[in-house]
Amino acid sequence: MWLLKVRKRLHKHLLIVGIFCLTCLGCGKEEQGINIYAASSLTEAVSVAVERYEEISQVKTKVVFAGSNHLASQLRDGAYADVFITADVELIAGLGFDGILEGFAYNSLVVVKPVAFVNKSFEPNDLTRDEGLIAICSEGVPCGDATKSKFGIIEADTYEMNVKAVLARVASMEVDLGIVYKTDLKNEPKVITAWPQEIACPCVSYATAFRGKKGNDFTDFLISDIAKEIFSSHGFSL
Amino acid sequence: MNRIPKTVVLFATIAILFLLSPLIGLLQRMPWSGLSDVLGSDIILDAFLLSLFVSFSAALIVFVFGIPIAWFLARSNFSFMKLLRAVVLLPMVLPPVVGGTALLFAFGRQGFLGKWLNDWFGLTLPFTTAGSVVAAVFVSMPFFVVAVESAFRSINEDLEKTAETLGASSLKIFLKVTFPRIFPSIVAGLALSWARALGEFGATITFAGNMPGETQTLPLAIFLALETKPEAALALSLVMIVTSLAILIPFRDQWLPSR
Repeated sequence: MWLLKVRKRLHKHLLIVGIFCLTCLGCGKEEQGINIYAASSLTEAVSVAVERYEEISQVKTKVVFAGSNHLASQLRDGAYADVFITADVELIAGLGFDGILEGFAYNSLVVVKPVAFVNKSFEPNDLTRDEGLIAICSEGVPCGDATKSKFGIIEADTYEMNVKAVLARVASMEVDLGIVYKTDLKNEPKVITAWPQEIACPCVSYATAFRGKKGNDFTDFLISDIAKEIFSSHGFSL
Repeated sequence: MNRIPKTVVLFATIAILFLLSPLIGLLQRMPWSGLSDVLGSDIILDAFLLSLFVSFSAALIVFVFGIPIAWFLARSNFSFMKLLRAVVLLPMVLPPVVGGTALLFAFGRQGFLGKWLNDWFGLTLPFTTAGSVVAAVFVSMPFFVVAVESAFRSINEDLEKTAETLGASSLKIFLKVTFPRIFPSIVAGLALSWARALGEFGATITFAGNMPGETQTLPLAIFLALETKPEAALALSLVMIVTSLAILIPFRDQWLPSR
């Protein structure tokens, strides 16, 4: 009888220890492969580039896409990346990378409307008028700062945290006008340019931060002809 | 009061420490010296006032519509009651971002109801304060309904039946007999759903967007500041914590269901 009780207790303790062990299993850091953090405006191009890289070098990759600021704050708080591709080179400082490759690709901004509004005509003045709904990136994130420097102050109806959110608003026809990267225009068939625009200035310059051999190798790949072709076919200026 | 078993005390202590440690972490990183500068900015004041307005409006709407739902769920013998209850509680489990997207599909400019609102009344909910309130009501309603429904179930109906035999109308019975007895649960449910509405982020940013002074509530301002100005984000979090404590602490004892 007494032994039975002890046993019962033992089981309980074992269970608790077991749960703890299970929790710990999830904490181990993955050492294999290469971790890539990339700005959300690069989603399509980098996905394709990474696929090619896996084929060529037989290295496994893990890619995280999000707004540049969001990725930088994750890295600051202890996330690990071998490569960090950002739309704002200043975000790299203090993250402990070995080197920086600046300006390997450029992007610029364009005003877009939903493709369903093809017959609705807009003009540059609509950006400052109160009619119609407008979505742009929030100041402080790269696409928002670029928007401000190219178009000045715009009275938008919503200030999104990254460019993909703006694109989604336009694509779903929730807004009439949005300002996105010209590469987004290429990747999203549901939006078209709001009016004929000269997409002149390279408004955003991408930078790559890397560390270790794995990071270095991938950065070399980024400036190879294969990668260059992928980026230019997605609409980036090189 | 009964003596609390030692195991319970141990587990409770661990849980409390766990809940407390992020708060300590927040306070320990707080830029106390620069706090007054950050707190004085217009954006923070706007976000604070907007958050109060949105959360209290949501609580009011939840109060008005939540009691009938709870009553219905608790007292009616409708055959699909279990399904109906699950539907009402769905926003609790749905990721708020999904909730916001679903709200867009319904009340957005292209949504099946929103289209109609737009064509007939020229009303657009997304990107307006009303939209923020709609998002807050959607996510916070279930918390109130759960609390009040269980109260409706826990009281026995003898008093109501007596009042009925004495000839009171059903509305009068509710106001004079039922309501006072479920009042503590109503207050507790309101506190819960108000707090949920105050902290609401995902559905708001998806459905109502982010516009200072109009839809940028405290959680949205905090999220944006976290990526651009971390000190401001901490200061904003302090504002949220103080606000919720100031509202929730007085809700103690006498209003909670008595032991």
